[in-house]
Amino acid sequence: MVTLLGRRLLATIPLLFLVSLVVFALVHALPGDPAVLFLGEEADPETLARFRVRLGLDRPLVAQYAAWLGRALRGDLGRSLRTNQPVAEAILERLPVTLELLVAALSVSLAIAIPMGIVSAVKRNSGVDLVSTVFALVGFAMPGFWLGIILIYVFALLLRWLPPSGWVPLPASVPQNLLSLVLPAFTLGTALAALVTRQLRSGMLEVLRQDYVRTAQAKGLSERQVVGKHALKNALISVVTVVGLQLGGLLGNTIITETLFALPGVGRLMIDAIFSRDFFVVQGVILFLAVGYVLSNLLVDVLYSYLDPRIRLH
Amino acid sequence: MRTPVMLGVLAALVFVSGPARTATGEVRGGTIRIGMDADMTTMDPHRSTAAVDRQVYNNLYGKLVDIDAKFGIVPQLAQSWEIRNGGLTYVFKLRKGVKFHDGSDFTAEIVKWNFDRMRDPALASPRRSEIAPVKEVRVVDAATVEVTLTAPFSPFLSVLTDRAGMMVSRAAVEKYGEDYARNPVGTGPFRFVEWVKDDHLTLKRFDGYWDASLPHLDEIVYRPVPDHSVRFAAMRTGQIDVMHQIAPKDVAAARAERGLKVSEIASLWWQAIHLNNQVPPFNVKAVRQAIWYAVDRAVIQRVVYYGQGAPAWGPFPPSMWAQDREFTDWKRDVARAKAKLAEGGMPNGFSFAVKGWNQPTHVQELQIVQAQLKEIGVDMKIELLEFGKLLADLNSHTFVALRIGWSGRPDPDGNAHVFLHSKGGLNRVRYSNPKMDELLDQARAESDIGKRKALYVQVTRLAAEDAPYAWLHHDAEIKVWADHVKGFEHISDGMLRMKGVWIETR
Repeated sequence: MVTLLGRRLLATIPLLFLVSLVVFALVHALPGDPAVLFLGEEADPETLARFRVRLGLDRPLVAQYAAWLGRALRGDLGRSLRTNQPVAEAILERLPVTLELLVAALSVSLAIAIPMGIVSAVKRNSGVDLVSTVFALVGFAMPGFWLGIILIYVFALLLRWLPPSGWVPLPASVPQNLLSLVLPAFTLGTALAALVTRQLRSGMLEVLRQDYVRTAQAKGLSERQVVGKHALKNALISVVTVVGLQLGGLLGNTIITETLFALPGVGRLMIDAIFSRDFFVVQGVILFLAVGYVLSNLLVDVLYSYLDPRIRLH
Repeated sequence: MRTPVMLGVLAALVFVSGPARTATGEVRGGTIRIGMDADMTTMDPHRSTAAVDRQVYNNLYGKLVDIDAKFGIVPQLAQSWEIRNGGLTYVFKLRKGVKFHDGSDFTAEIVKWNFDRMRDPALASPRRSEIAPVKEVRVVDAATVEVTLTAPFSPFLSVLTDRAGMMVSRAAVEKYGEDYARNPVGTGPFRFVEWVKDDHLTLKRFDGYWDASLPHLDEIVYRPVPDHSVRFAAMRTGQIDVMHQIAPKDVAAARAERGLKVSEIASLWWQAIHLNNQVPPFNVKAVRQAIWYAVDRAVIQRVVYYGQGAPAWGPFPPSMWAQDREFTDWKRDVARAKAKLAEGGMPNGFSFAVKGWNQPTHVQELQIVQAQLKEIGVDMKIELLEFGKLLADLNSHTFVALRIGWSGRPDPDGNAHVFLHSKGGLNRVRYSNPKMDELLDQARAESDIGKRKALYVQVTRLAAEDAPYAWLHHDAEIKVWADHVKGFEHISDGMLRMKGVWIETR
C-alpha cells in the first residue's frame, strides 16, 4: 500500500510540471499590462519600462519561466507585485479559511444528501421522493451567487439570525466562527448536495434490486440493517466517485462564495490577483490548488479500496 | 449584533474614564467600521494607483495641504504658503512639533526627502508624473521648504491635497524597505495597526497627533465587501457603520431604511464614450457630432442612475466652479444627428463596435446608447471586456470607441488637460486642436479663478463642437451612514476623513 501510494505520488510530478507550464503560459497570455495596472494610466513610458525591468517582465518568457520554476522547486513561490508579501505566506495565511469552508460545505452537502438519498430510494415515488427530486433539480440548477444572495436576504436581513458577510477566525471565537460559516457553507454545498442526493438515490435503487439484498431480507434482517449495512456501503462507492470528481468544482466555486461573503480565503486571493495581474500570486495559487486537487483525488482512490476491497490501488 | 459591541465599548468608557464630551457634544472613543468596495492594494501612497487606498491614507497620512467642501485649499502639515515669481515658486511654512507615528520628527528635510523619493526614477512612482512640473525642492530652514516649478502650474496645490502631498516617515521606509507597503508610518490622526488582506485593515487613534483635540474615535476598521448587495446588507444589519460605494438601485432603499442616512453630493467623476479621432468613422468631425446629438443623457441619468448625478456635456462636473452651466447644446436632437451623419458622408448610418467594462451600470448605459443610436441608423455593437484588458486596449489605442470613466481631480485641469491636450497623457483618442491646446495651457498657467473659468467655458464649448468624447454622465458622490455616526463633512472627492467623526452615545 505504502509503495503504491509512493508510486502514485511520483506519477503526479510530471503532471504538476505540466500544470506549472500551462499556468505560466495562461497567466502571461492574459491581455493587460501589469505595469499599467500597477502604475496607473498616467505613468510615463520610462517609468513603465523601469517597473518591467524591476520585476523581470522584460526578459524572454522562457527565461522568466525557468527562473520562476527554479525558485518554486526550492519552495519559493515569489512575492506579490503589490504588497511584496511572499506568495507562500499569503496562501498559508488564507488556507484555514478555505479549508474550513470546504469541510463545512462538504459536511452540509453530505448531511443533506445521505438521508435524503436513502429515504427517496427506499420510499420511491412517495411524497418524500418528490420533494427530494425537486430539491435536487432546483439545488443543482441554481447558481451559487444567486442562492447566496437569497440566503443573505432571508437569514441576515429578514430574520437577522446570521451575519450577512465577514469572517471570524476559529481561535477568536468558536461560535462566532461557526455562525459566519453557515451561509457560505450552504451556498457552496447545496449544488453538491443535490447531485449526491440523485446519485445516492439511483445507486441505492440499483443495490436494493441485487440478490444479496433479497437474501438479507429473506434471512429476516430488519430493514434498518438491510439498508444501513448491506445496501448503503455499496451505494456509497458511487457517491465517493461523485464527491471526488466534484472537489475541483467545489474548490473553484470557493472563489465565488468567498467573494460574495467577503471571506479572506485562497479563492479571493486568486481572483484579486488575476484582476490586478499579480502574476506570481496567480501562478502560486493555481499551482498550490493543483497539488491540493491531485492529493484529494489520491485520497478518493484510497477510500475506494476501503469501501470495496475488490478495488485495489494499481 | 452591533448593539452589544457598542454598549460594551460605551460601558468600558463610562467605567474607565467616563465619556469625554466636548462643548459641542462630540464624544471621545469608540470604533467605526467602514464597508469598502475593494481591498486596499498598498499602504505606500507614493506607489498606490488604486482609489480605495486613498480612503485609508486620508486618515493615516498627513498631507501638506487639504481641500475643503468648496475646493478651497486649507492648511494641514503646511501651516501657510506663499506663491512667488508669478507662480514659479511655492514657499511652505511647516507646522512645528509634528511627529510621525514612529516618533520621528516631521521637518523640512523630510519634505524634501519625500519629494525626492517620488521623483526618483528607480521607485517608478505614479506620483512622478503628477509632480512633473517640480524643478527643485530646497530646505530654507527646519520649518520652511521652497518648491520651484519649471513653469507656472496653478493646479499644484490641488495636486498636493492627494497622494503626492502625503508625507511618509523616512525612518520607516529605511527600516522596512520593500515591506514598507505593509508597515506604513505617517503623521495622520490614526496610526496603522494591522492589515489582514481581504478581511480588514485596522487603524487606531494616534495620541501624539498635532491637534491634541482630535481625533474623537479610538479605532477605524475597514472591511472590504466587494459585492454591492452584500455590502448593503451588512450596512442594514449593522455589521458596518459607514458604506462606501452604493449601487444606484439601492439608494432609495437606503433612504427608506430606519437608522440609516444618505448623503449625496456632486462628485468629480465623468463617464464618456471615447471616440478614436484617428480612425474611421470617427476621424470625421461631423460623424462624432452625430453621436453627440443622438445620445439622450437625460434618459441615461433617469434609467441607469435612478436620477442620481447629472448629465455630462464636458469634463467638468457640477461640483466644479469650471462647469459651464449656461451651455445647452447637449440635449438630444435626432434630426440634427441625422443631418450631421449626412454631412459626414454617411446618410444611411454605419456600424461600429464599442468596448466596455463588464459591469452592470456600464452595460446598461451602453445598451441605452445602442438603442438611441439605432434611431439614426447607426448600429453599435457592444464588446464587453474585463477591466485590465479594457485598459490595455485604451492605452494602445486599440479601439474605435471605448466607454470608460474618470474619477476626477479637485482642480479642473486634472479633468481636462490630460484628455484634451494634444500632448495629454490620457489623450488616447488622439484628439488634436491647436486652439484647444492653447486654451488649456493658458488656463493651467493662469492663477485668477475668474479668468480660468472664462477659459474653461471656451474649453467646454470647443470640446462639444469637436466632440472627441461623447460625455454621458457625472456620477453622484454618495455615502451611507448609521444614524449614530456624527460629524462627517462630505467633500466631492469622496474621501472619508474621519478625524472629526464621532459616535453618539445612546
